[in-house]
Amino acid sequence: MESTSKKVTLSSSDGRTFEVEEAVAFQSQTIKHLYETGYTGDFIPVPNVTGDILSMVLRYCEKHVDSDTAAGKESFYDNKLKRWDALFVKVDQSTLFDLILAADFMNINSLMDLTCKTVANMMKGKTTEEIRGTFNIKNDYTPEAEEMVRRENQWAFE
Amino acid sequence: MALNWDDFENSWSFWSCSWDTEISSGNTESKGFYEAVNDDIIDRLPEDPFGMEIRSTFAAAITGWFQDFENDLWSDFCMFGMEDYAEKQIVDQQQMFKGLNWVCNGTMSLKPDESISSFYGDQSSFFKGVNWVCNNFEINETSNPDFNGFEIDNGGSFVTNDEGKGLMDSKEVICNDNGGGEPSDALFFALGYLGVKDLLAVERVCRSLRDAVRSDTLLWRNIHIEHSLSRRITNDALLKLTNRAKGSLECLSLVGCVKITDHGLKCVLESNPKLTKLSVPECTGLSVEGILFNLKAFKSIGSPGIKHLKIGGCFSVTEEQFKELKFLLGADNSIQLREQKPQFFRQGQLHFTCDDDRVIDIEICPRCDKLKLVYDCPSESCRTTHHAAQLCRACFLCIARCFRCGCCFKHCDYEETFTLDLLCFNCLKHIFGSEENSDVIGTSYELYFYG
Repeated sequence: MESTSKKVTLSSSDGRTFEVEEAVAFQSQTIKHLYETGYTGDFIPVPNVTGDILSMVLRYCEKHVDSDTAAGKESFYDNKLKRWDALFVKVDQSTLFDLILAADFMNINSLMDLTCKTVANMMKGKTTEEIRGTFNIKNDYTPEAEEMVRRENQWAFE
Repeated sequence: MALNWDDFENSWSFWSCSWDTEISSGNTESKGFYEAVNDDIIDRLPEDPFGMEIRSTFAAAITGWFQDFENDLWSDFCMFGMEDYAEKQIVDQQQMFKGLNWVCNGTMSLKPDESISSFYGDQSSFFKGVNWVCNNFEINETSNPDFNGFEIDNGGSFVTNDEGKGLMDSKEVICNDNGGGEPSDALFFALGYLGVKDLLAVERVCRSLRDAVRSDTLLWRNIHIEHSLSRRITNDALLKLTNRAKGSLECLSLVGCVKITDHGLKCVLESNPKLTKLSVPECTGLSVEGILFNLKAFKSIGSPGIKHLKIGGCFSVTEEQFKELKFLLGADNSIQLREQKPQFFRQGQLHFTCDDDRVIDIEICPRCDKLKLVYDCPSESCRTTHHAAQLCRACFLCIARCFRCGCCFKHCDYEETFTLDLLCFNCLKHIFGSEENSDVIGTSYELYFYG
């Protein structure tokens, strides 16, 4: 990484600012696009994303910039990065959801992939009841409607 | 055994649970067991002539079941404040009841009436009864001091499945008295990573998820019927599923869907003109003639037609049929000559991967000249020269291959597994290596949570 790399400042929804290298911030397609279309402000506001989540996202971006540049594709680094990723998403559910929403807003594909896969793994192989329990979702079906849905794909659960 | 039962009672009272009913029903069952044989000649024999300790065999079996996921679960049970007991256990070193003990401890309080009904109801044996108790439990004391950050309301009966997977995430369950709320927006993003069966389970959860699952055609653009569904899916069900794509279905893979018939496939093709990839290995309800007929009809309605077909090794395809198939798929000789991605033998890998651009999966085996699935060899020594690679191309019958990595056995030894699959030594080493690793990880986890 060049020592003269430009810095950009991001500001979260709760007013915290983060100064990071351009390459790190540009992992986010949204920010990259913003700059490419000629944005010249002092800092980039990232509404919808709190400081805590933004710092996590930036930590992720930094890690992935490092390994993209430094001998990037070697399998050793790859494995190490995967393990780092696995630890990165070991957070509580609401943080994980916030990360997904942040990744969606900032348009960071790899982070989106990672977080969504984690959530999908929490759903995989579970029954409907278990999914409701895991994600604290209220069953808002009327009994008739529920019976209809149930009957429609009953074949899959017999 | 008496010793172990004492231990049990200690641990149960330790948590002051309503276990009396359980114990008594356990005893009733065992009494029944011996009473049943009283009239018999076996009555005159000692109770346990071969010293098999039938009860301990049960226990060992149960323990064996739970040991597999035990390590994973320790973390969660430590959430419950179980460290004391865990330490006690490690001192006791009673491996036999280890698995069972903690599961019972996880059962904070049981509704006695329900457990009894299950004992005397459909569950006929003591053994199954224990299993039931372990797998279904209800926690209805929100004020329990051991439940740091873990609250389940009365409506939230928490039923785990056989593998106890539900337990793993139990620390994340926080139900309020109103029984939860709307699903988070973030949840909808994750739907794209789920398979068909999980999507069907998700759409039963609530209305907004149902609408999302049903209306998002992207979720249904690639349909892969996984093994758990393949034996059950019928023509109607398949048609309904594929119709969710609203005509945008591109890739359909049905592996071992025995109930799907040629007519069913025809209906699916008619309503999905954009379908280009079709995989039907082991679909014994289909016939080669039917597939050919369907492909012809499909092409004649003006759609681009199927470009990639997988039919697997189960159909007996004649050479004329093969030629016709290739013609229908648009595979002229120029494409055939082009360098294809090598196809390796892997057990249970029959569905499409996204980058698979092979037109048809079967071809004429260079050795036996029959239409078969022809595999390349992944082994380094066979791939060094083009010539060597060509020599080691053949169907599964002509060249035996490792079921895990697909290499031939020219350059390495192999082992026959219990299921008569062949396994090369490299893979064998790998498997054992990873098992050792997981053991190491398991132990370190345990140490971490004990200490």
